[in-house]
Amino acid sequence: MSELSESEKRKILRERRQQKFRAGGASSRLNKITGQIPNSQLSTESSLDTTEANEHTKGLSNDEDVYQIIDSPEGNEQSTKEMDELIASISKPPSSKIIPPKSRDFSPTPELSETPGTVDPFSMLKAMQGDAEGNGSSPFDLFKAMQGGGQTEPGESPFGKDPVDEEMVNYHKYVVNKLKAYSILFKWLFFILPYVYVVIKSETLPFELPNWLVNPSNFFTIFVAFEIVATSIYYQKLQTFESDNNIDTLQHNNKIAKLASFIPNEGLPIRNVRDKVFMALHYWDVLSMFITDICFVLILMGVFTYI
Amino acid sequence: MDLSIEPNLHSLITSSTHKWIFVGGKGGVGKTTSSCSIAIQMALAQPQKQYLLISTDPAHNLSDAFGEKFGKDARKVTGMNNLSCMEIDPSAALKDMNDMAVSRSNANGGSGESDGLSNLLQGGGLAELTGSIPGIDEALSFMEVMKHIRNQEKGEGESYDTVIFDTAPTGHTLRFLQLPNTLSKLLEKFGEITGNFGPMLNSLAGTGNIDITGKLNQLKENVELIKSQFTNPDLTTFVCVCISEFLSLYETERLIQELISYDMDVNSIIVNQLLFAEHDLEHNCKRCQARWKMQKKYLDQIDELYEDFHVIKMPLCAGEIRGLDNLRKFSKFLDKEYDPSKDGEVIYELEEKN
Repeated sequence: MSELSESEKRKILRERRQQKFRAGGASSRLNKITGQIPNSQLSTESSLDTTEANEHTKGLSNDEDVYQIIDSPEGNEQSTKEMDELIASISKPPSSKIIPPKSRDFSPTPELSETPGTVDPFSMLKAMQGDAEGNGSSPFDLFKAMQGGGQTEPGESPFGKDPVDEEMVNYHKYVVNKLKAYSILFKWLFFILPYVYVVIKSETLPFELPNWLVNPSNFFTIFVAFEIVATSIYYQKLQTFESDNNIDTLQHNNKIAKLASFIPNEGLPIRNVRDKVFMALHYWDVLSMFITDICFVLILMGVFTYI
Repeated sequence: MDLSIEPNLHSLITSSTHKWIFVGGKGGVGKTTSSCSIAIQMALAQPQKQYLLISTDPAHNLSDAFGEKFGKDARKVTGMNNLSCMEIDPSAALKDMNDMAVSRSNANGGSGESDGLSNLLQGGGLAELTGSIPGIDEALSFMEVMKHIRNQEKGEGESYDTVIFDTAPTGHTLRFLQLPNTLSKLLEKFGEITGNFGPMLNSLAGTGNIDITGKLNQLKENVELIKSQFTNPDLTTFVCVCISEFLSLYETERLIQELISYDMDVNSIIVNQLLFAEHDLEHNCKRCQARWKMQKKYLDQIDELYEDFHVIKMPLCAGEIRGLDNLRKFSKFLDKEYDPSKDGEVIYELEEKN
């Protein structure tokens, strides 16, 4: 074989180095280093371990297996084989390169148990300040945030990653919308529709019902009582979801609430404006559901009168 | 086929292609000594070429290392015709920019004391305001790189074949190296905006003498050029410096991983301050033996983890390595690895000179 030029040799060695950092190798290298010290608190998460690399290591039960691949003679043989292939195609540009991850990996459907908690302002400050000595992982965290080149995702704060996981907010929105849809469906199909029907068409019914139930003068009382019960159940369920997902529905779904969160609580002629706006929005939410049901009742009344 | 890796920097020192060499690592591991040593060895090995050593560390050490004063302008090292040094000083550079702004304001008919902006600038307001911006050191270092590229293109000023960066501790350095990427993306966005509002922006610029779109495009071209050069292993490489201790090794590994993620070449690690106590029985002590035992533990790990890297093991000298003569003596171990059984006297020679 002809003598390799310095540049070619450099290229081959570079590829060989990069291979060792790929496929979960980066984290296991950090693990190896931190393993030297008992109870080391240093992070072993590597920015190099991309989703691609994670897929590659799928099936490996733990880090021990990764070590085996890196250290074992089989691993070296494989590496040598790959090197030979690389040398054969030395003129070609490198086929793959390691891509830095843009963000943390999240599963498509987040587990409720994995929901992020409240943000620690001290850790955020630490990451923002940067460490002149480069100790710890804060400079790297800062760089991870800078990897996007200042670009922000929709819904993400321009000053950094949104404290609440975007994926979780979307999931929460989906759950809340589903709850709302099912509660409306249940109310309309199983209460309002039959009840309006029995009130309007009480004379044509083949069976007898108590007079207080079919009496039109009692309609509003019964309807309002049902609305109160249904709304209570709905909010009870909503609160369960909110506490499970650790997300405030109003703050994340409502644009007015988002804008209101910028209003300071102090220093304005009216105190606690923000809280008052939130309270008003909560009342409006209840009222809007009530108005929707009333509208449906009116439509049904019209329809049943003409049938 | 010879793919063996020498435990020295001979291939880098004699390299004819490298234009940018970064030397970095954790604080206090000997980055400045290492960068000076690399620069000296390169300058000695290839006397026909011009070398520039730039310190981008806000806490400059180059002047102390060589024992002569360097400033924001490149100046030749006394005793070396082809090696220049400079220390990028953000406050001085910002003061220059401030003075330029003042003179421009006065030239445009600023109404002296009554002019609020002029008053602010007279007191060095611009320098004060911008000096506290995070990352300003890195931005100024980056401007320096751009200046050199421009000079090389135009053939203006002094041009250098290789620029060696004595970088700040890891965090700063990574910010600096990330700048081309960040700027490139930023300018891309600006490009989109100026594509739509370019003529309007140009007319807003006043006299029409400033072509904003043109300037942005030029800047973008320069940034792209730097980006491509920094990721070309034939042109750019990063030399990591560490000591044989846990935290230093950990940070070196993280640094290397970050550099690989930026697609930057890193193939050399200088391990400084090694005791080689077993070869030094004459001046032996219990503490040195214990320390050397600990260093050996991490050295073994370094050898295992970085078998495809040039790992250069440098001795801890009895005295400080300051001045060109001492640096020259010490730096030869970068070109030909240190042999504790033969080269042991050099450690004490350096002490005598101090």
